[in-house]
Amino acid sequence: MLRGLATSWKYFRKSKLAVGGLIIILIFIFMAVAAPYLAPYDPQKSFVGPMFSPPSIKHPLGTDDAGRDVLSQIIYGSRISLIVGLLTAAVATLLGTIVGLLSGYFGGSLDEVLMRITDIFLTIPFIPLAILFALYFGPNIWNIILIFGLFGWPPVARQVRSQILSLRETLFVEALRALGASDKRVIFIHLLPNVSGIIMANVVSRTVFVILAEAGLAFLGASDPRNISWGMMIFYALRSGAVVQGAWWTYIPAGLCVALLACGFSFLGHGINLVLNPRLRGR
Amino acid sequence: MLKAQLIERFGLNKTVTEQFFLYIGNILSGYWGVSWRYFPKDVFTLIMERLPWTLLIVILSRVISFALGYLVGTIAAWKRGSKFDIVLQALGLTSMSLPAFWLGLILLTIFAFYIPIFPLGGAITSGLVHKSLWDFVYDVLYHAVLPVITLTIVTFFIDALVMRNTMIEVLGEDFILTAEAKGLKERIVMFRHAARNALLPFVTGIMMSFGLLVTGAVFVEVVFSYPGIGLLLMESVLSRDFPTAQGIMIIITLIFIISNFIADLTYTLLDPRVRLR
Repeated sequence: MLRGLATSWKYFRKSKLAVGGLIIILIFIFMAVAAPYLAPYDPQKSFVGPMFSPPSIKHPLGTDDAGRDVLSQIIYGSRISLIVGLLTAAVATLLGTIVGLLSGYFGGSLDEVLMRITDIFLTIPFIPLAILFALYFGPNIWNIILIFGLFGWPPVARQVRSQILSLRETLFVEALRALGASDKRVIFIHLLPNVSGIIMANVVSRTVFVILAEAGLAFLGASDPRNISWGMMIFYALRSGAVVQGAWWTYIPAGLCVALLACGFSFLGHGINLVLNPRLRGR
Repeated sequence: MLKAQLIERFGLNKTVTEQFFLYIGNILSGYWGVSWRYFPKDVFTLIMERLPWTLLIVILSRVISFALGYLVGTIAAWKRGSKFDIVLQALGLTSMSLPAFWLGLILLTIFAFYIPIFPLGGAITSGLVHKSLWDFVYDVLYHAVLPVITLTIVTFFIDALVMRNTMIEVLGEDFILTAEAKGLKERIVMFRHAARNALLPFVTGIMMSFGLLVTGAVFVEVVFSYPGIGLLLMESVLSRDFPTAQGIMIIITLIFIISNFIADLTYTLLDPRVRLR
C-alpha cells in the first residue's frame, strides 16, 4: 500500500502541471483556514474606506460600492468555494459510487432501473435546476450543497458502473465467489479498492464543476447573502455599476480566484489521470 | 371575497394531485402561467419574445466555434506533440476552468469601457429608428459581437480538443497509411480522408453541447444585459417571479432534449452503418 503510494507520487511529481495545481489548492486552503489572521478588515463591514477607492496601501485591492475591503472579502470568499466545492463533490461521488457499484455488480433489473434514473438526471439541465431550487428553498449554503450533491452524481455512477462491469468478469472475482465470499465482502473489500482511482479522479473533476457552478449561482444572485463568496462579489459589482465606474478591482480579482482554484483542481485531476492511466504518460 | 376568487382562480381548493395534473395539462396546452413581475403578461409569450435573442447568440457562436474547432483540431492532431498541439491542450484545460461571466466582464471592461468600440449592453440601440433592413441587421450584429466572442471562447477549445482526439484515432487507421502510400498530398489526406471520418463524433458532440451552451448563454446575457431568456431568468430570480423561472427551466430542458434528439438523427444521417430499419 505504502509502496504503491510512493510510486504514484513519483509519477505525479513528474507532471509540473499537477504539482502546480496542488500548490494552488494548498495556498487557497491556507487562505481559508487562516482567514481571520490574514484579512486586514472585517469583510462584511461597510465603509472601512471610501466607496470604489482604487487599490492603495491601506486597501491593497481597493474597496467596493459599500466601502468594504475587497482583499478581505476575497480571503473569506475562499472558504465558501472550498467548502461547497469539496463537500458537494464528496456527496455526489459517494452517491454515484453506491449507485454505480450496485448497478454494475448486481446487473439485471436493478441495473435497468438505476440506469434509467441516471439517464433522466443526465437530461435535466443542471444549472437552471439549481437556480430554481435555490429560488424555492432559499439560497442557504447547505441547500446549495444539497442540490449540487443530489444532482451531481450521475456521471460518477456511469463511470463506476462501467468499471465494475468489466471487473465483475475477472478471474479473481470468480475465485472469490468460489471461495464463498459474500456479495458485501466482494463489493466493499475487493471491488471498491479497485475503483478507488476513478473515484478520486471524479471527486476532483466534480469539485471543478461545482466551484464554477457555485460562482455562477452566486453571480445570478441565488446565493446565501450572509456568506460572502467570490461569485457574489461579482454580482454586487455588476449591480452597483462597477464596470461603468471603472472599478475593475471589485470583480476582476474575484473572478481570477474562481478561475485559479478551478484550474488548480483540473490540473490536479490531470495529474491523477497520469498516475491512473499509464498510456498517457508517454515514453 | 378576493381571497375566495383567487383560490378558485388558481385551483387551490383542489387536492395536490389534481393541481399537479392541472399544471401538466396547462404546460402541454401552452398556458405556462402569468408572470408576477410583468403582470399580467403570459409567461409563454414573454419567453417566446426573449428566446430569439438567446438563440441568435448561441447559434452564431456555435457555428464559429464549430468551424474554427474543426480546422484547429485537425491541424493539432496532424502535428501531434508539436508546440501548437501542446499549447492547445494547455489552453483547453484552462478554458474549462474559466467562469464564462468573468471572461465576459473582462471583454466588456476592455472593449466597451476602456476602448469603447462596442456597446456596453443591450441587443439593439434603444430609441434608434432603423432606416433600412440592413441598418437593423448591422445594429443587431454590432451588439452581438462581444457576447458571441465570449461564448465562442468558452466552447472553442473544447471543440478543438474533441476534434483533435477523434482525428488521432482516425490517423492510426490503415486507410490513412494507404492514402499516404499512394503519394497523395498531405493536405488532401488530412482534410479529405482523415478529417471527414473524424467528423461524425465531432458533429454529434457539438449538437449535444448545444443545450449546455444555452446555460452558458444565461451568464453571458446577464453580463452584457442582452435581453434573452438568461437575463429574464436573473430578473425572475431577483424578483421572486416563480412562474417565469419555471417556464424558463422548461424551455431550457426542451432545448436540451431537442438538441440531443437532433444529435441522434445526424448520427444516422452521416453514418450509413447506423441506419434505422
